[in-house]
Amino acid sequence: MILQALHDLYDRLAMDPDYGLAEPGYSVQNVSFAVVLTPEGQLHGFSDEQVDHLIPGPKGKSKTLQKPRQLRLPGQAKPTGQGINPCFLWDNAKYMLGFDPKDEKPERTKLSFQEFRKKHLELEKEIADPAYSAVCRFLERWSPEEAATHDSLAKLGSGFGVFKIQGESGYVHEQAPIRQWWQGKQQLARESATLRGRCLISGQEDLPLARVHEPKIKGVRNAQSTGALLVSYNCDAFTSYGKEQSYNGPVSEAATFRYCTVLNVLLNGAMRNKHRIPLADDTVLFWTGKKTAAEEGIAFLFSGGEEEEKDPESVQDIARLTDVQIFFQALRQGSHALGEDGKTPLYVLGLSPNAGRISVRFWHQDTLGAFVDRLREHFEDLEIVGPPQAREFPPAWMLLKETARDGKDVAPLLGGALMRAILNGTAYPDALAAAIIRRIRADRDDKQHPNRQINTLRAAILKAWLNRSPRFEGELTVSLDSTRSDPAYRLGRLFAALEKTQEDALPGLNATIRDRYYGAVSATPGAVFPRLLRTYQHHLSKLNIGAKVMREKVVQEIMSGIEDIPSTLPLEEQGLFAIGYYHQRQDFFTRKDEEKSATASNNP
Amino acid sequence: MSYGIRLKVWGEYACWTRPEMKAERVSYDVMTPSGARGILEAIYWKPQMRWVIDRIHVLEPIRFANIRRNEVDPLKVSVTAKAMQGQGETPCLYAEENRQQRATLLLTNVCYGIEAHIEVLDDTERGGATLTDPVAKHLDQFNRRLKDGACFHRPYMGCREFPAYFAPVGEEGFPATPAELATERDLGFMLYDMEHAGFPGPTPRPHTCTERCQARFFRARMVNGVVDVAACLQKTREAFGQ
Repeated sequence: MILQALHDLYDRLAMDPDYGLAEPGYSVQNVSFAVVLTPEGQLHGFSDEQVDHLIPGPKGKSKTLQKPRQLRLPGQAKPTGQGINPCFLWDNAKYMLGFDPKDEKPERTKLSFQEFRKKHLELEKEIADPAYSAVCRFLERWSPEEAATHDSLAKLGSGFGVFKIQGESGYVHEQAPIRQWWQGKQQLARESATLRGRCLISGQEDLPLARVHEPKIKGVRNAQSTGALLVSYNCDAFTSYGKEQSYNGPVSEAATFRYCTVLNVLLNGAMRNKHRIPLADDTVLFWTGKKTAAEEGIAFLFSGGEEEEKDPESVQDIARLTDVQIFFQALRQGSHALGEDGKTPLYVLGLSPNAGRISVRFWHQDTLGAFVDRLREHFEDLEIVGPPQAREFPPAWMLLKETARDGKDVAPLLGGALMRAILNGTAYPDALAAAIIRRIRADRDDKQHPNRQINTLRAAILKAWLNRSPRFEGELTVSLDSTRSDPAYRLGRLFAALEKTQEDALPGLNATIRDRYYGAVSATPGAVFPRLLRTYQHHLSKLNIGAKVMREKVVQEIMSGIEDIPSTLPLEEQGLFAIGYYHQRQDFFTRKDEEKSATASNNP
Repeated sequence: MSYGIRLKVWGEYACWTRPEMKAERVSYDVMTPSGARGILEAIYWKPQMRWVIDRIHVLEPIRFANIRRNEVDPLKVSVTAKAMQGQGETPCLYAEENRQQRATLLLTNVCYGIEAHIEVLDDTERGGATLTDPVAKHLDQFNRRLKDGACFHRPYMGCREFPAYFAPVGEEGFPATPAELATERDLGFMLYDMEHAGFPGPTPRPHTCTERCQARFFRARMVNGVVDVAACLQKTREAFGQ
């Protein structure tokens, strides 16, 4: 269904000029210069085709960058390989002019230009168009040595070039007769495809089948920059029944073009920030069956901030924010707040690269309404008491970042597993919780990261994981649950109380009992707690009478639920320990704030 | 259908590989008819008969997971007469030198109900064999073997690595399909089976597959967790001709 859904999306995106979808036989390429000719084929000059690109900087200062212009050009991506493959009416400067400012292989450059000239001159009779003839005259007359005399050439980037006739609008490859000729030729090539058969996307019988699936797909993170293939048979072991290449999975030429083009536009087109979200090792694509406000919101929800930092192209505007607001409202109130869009189909595709191929990490198909409900459940499970600046809807990449020391160390399969749990409403992966507990034990708070070890997000993930775990009974609450009797939870609370007592008794310590004992106490409480309880008595004696009584009461209340201290805690109970600790600690702080505000209001 | 058979198959993993995504394997959402045929043939098959799959019931929710496996990139080496005489290249394959790591998007915790029937090949299809047994004989043999848990080789869920467990279904029929599948789902074009070059008609056995063997597809539609293969085939035929 993946290919079918992409194939169907083509029609929707083709109607929308924002996407700039290429038509069959064409592809979108980065063009940085044009060779301007007189109608007689004399060289008029070289024009810089790059466009100014505004990049907003800090404090309202913005920078202007030159970026190549994206144009639809005849033919698919520049052919790869060692051979000399000139393109039609566009190419790089080596082919078009026999010129390379840093030429390492002058022989090859010369040959490239000769081939380019030969190819174009051969077609002159067939095309019979004055603009095309002008290009031919230029190619006949041009000698690569001349290039060095044109200063403007050296400044041009490494992008592709096209031809332009002085005083005419549009480029040479855009002239109507040339377009017609090109399309006719494409048609002929498709008709003459060697193998015909049933297309497994459209189901139509007797269509020309694609031998390889082109254009190649670009924009999947960490994949080859020249493009990789979603459907490929690049080893013998992948083929069967004596079939070669893509005849193993028969797809028609036309359907191949459509799904590959759509995939490229989602990954790399002008609107990519609405559809593509990097998540750990994966590249995730979202789209809906028709244009919806939610499309914008989804991308924001999952990338939320990360993409903006890295990619300044996604400048937020009012319209975008409104869309996001609608979506967030639906998340709070239920899918009915989306409007009538609830039944619109929604697709999520997770891709990751592997050896020149692209593999599918996950694929999810649902209605928009059901998706919103799933997301709401997810955020409800994550909800936990915390400081007011904590994000209401933490994006998925933020959760994943908590599992590793550095964003790039996140386990490769974790992103997909987490997404799958969110999308299906199933249990979160155990590996996620195991990684979080590992980080809690390994990390230490310091001046730069005052609240790293057990932060709100980590506690929230553990809470969500336990609440959805089929092995776990009873539901964890958002804030402290003083009725909860699990020993692990109680011990977590007790540890928080002991730590707080130490802090109150000896303010400004470099290393508290959490820094020294958290790892040990959460795994083997039986061995550590007796010692901690002894030191607790010393700390307690340093408090003033009022605080001492208050703390005694809290500790008594917690201890009353613990019959004996287990010697070890398995993974799930370590998670429970962390939540108990977090809840109790948050409770100490909020209580203090409340007391403060209460005394403040009493003494105006 | 009085001549039909029913059985339940289940397993921890399944991968009903889509032919277009068989390099980095992606499974279909449900078992394919050819996958079901493979399981039945593992339990019982004779050259005089063929299995025809009528319906596939999905009895557990559809859940996906990812794995990566180390495999090899060339096809398996076949031993030639020349090689046996010690001439030419040695027919061997060093896995360490031919590694390919491939990802798989597979199904976990699957359970299916299969409804199928046996067709006895007629004279033109048997390629000259004279033996004919009535359908009932094949049916009885199959049901006996099913009850005993006998199989010619271990039936599997699309890949040899994922064994299938099987059991007969009593009078009470299949258990209910999961609530979340209580809708109609278009599964797109799904592999029905291979149409071998020469079929129908006399086929020399053993048959060697060539590039003229074609994959046949059908538009799969799942209604309340059941894929009615015969009805889907009929509809596909009406819409596209086959």
